[in-house]
Amino acid sequence: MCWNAKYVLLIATTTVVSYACAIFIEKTADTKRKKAALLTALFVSVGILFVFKYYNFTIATIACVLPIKPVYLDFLLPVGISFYTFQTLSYVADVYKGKIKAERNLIVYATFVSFFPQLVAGPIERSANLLPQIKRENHFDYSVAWEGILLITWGLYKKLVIADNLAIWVDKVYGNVFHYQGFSLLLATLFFTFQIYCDFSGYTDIARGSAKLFNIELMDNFRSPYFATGFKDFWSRWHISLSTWFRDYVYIPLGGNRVSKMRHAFNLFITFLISGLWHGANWTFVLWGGIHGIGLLCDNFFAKRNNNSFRLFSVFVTFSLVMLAWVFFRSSNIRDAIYVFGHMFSGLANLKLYFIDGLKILNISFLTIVKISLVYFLPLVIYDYISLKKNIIKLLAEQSWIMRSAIIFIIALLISIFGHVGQSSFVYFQF
Amino acid sequence: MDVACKSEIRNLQFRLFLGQVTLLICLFLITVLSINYFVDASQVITTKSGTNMARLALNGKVVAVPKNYNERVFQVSIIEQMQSMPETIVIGSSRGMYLGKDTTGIDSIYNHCVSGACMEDYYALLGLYDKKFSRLPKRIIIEVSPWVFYEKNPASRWSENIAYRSACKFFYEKVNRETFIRTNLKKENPYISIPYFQYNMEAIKEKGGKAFTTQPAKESDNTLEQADYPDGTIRYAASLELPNPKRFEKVKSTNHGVSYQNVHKMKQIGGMKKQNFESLINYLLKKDIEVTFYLQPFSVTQCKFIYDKNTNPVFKDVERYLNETGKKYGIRVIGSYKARNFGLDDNQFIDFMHLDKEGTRKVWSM
Repeated sequence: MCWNAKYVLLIATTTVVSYACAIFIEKTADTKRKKAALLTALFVSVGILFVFKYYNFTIATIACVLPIKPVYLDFLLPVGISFYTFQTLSYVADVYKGKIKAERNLIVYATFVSFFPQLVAGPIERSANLLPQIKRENHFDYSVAWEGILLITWGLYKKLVIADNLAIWVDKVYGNVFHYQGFSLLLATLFFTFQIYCDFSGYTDIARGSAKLFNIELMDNFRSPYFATGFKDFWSRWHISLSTWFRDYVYIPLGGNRVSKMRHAFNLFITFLISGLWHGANWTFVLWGGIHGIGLLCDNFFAKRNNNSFRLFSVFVTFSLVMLAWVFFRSSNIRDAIYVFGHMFSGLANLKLYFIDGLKILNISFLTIVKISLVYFLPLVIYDYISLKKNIIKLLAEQSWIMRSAIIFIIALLISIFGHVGQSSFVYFQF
Repeated sequence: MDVACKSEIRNLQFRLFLGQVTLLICLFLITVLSINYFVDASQVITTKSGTNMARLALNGKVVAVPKNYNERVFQVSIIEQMQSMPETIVIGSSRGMYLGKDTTGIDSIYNHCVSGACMEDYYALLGLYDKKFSRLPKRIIIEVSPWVFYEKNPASRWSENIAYRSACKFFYEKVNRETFIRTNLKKENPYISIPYFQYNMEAIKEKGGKAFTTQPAKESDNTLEQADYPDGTIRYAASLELPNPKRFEKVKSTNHGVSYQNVHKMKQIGGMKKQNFESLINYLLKKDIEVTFYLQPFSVTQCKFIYDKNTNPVFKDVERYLNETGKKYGIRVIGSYKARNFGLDDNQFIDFMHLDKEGTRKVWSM
């Protein structure tokens, strides 16, 4: 991940090329020329993404199979490249399909691409949502601004208190998996499940909150994903901007579900493999995506049952399977992931020892468990559960100033007391 | 409602919002500031408990060293409350903490060594003297460890206390005639520092209301606890002070090169550090101050890694440089980083880098 100023040229190139192609698409009546412009925008944007993110991975993979001497590029990954590439591609595709009109003002378009709250790690905004908001005359909105402050505060809590503290154990275990087995591996995976959620959704909340200060509404990227009742439900709640992007620009163009069952399964699986690859240039991410693809294919069974007791069971099973899939996402390589799977449940025959040994090796005392439960998990679970039915932020923003301020003050104090205030970055910045 | 009216309402709402947010931020900062100031568990803001300890020490008492006390604050208080300047002082790290009346035979001596000392600590300690007495002692013994010359030495404890830090800045600028800049230093204001707030909250959790009160200084009456003697030298807790099997086993179990203060990454004597060191020495010599370098050995087992396995090749360079500098300026160099030069064994070490009192006496006398 790199913050080098020279990499502004990359986003500038992507911006200018997609801007020009969209205008050309709109101006020309010739279908072939429209397609050519679309392909040009695709080629340039994805080309840049490929060179900086996937070239070394591709060449290394080919070198494993063919007897060639790989030549690697020494480029750092420009920050936000995966996000703004997809954002510009969706814009050009929407203009091509006639869904929106091409933006003629380069400054407005460049603002849309590089809008600071969401540039680095999303949400991947659709031009139909964000462009009109940038173009209109924006006025300060008092209650929206307070929603923003509340969102930012809650996002910081998730990031600094929950994600960054859990990361300490996750990094310790996943940094050297072969030193661990049994419950310590399972616990580290559970912690990672919450770490990645809080890290990413925390960033999104901060991004959305910051945008609200300008009276701009970014799309909601997470809706209590760990209360999902199946993989389909999970992906309607997790990284929504990405899942809908893949649905609209990969899955549906491939035919979606309006094809034979075999082809439908193929479309779904391929979409998720690509989605996994989007997350990182490593086969572990592809496998992770594949697991989710298989999960979605098997999902029909869960979708049919609606009663409450089965719903609870579905939530539990979905959460467990999603958690296990995260093993691939977090592991440095496939070997580590296989080791984790192979040893996560070793020692289960003696339950008491299984748990005690696992906690001991991670140096987690009873007090720490209480702290993790009360300070990390409980507020998150309560917030997400209530969010299933209500918009908590809006509710809080409607309270009196004293009540609002008291809540923000208490959360800020809790962040100061429990937050991990050392140097850390957001996990999704690396994508 | 017309546009102008709506605009006026929005402006008012915006100002109200700004005012409310500002008030909230101020309330938060005041809370953090209050806890940091009134608890000040590391005494980086005030020197209350250091003052009490210093008073006891300067009255010739053996002072018990409490847990988590701030050594640098203690030195600030000692020098502040000194009635007269000793003829000889010792500055450096914990590796020089045994140099006092007993081990050196020098009568008028005070040991100002602080744990994890770096170049800035030399300047700070001398700066405190210069500020208080407008001159420096006749003799200065400088304990020099190799990491003092490491450009990326992460040591930053010298910067925590305001009085200590400004003494460093004052003396640095006096000696080097240039503005003191430390670009690699993570600047943090202890008043509003969140990590310090967390540390103070931990102290409140541990001690409750007592965290807000100054710890009374205590005269040490038993050898089980760590203490400071009236000449500033240290007495470790009994389990470490005297040779014993447990201590020996720990020293013997060393199984890698020295990585203290990241010195394993040190490839050469840092240019700026060398410059700062030589400027300091030149200044002291120009003031007719007798300077002595003290090089404390590392344990025998540790030396096997440093010298036989060459894990820290730069240590030889530092020792050579100090000997050459000593020769060039007529400065006495006592000691060496190599334990075998003095016929020492691991029994005379507290750990891989701290010689015990008897060992120190032996090295000093050779």
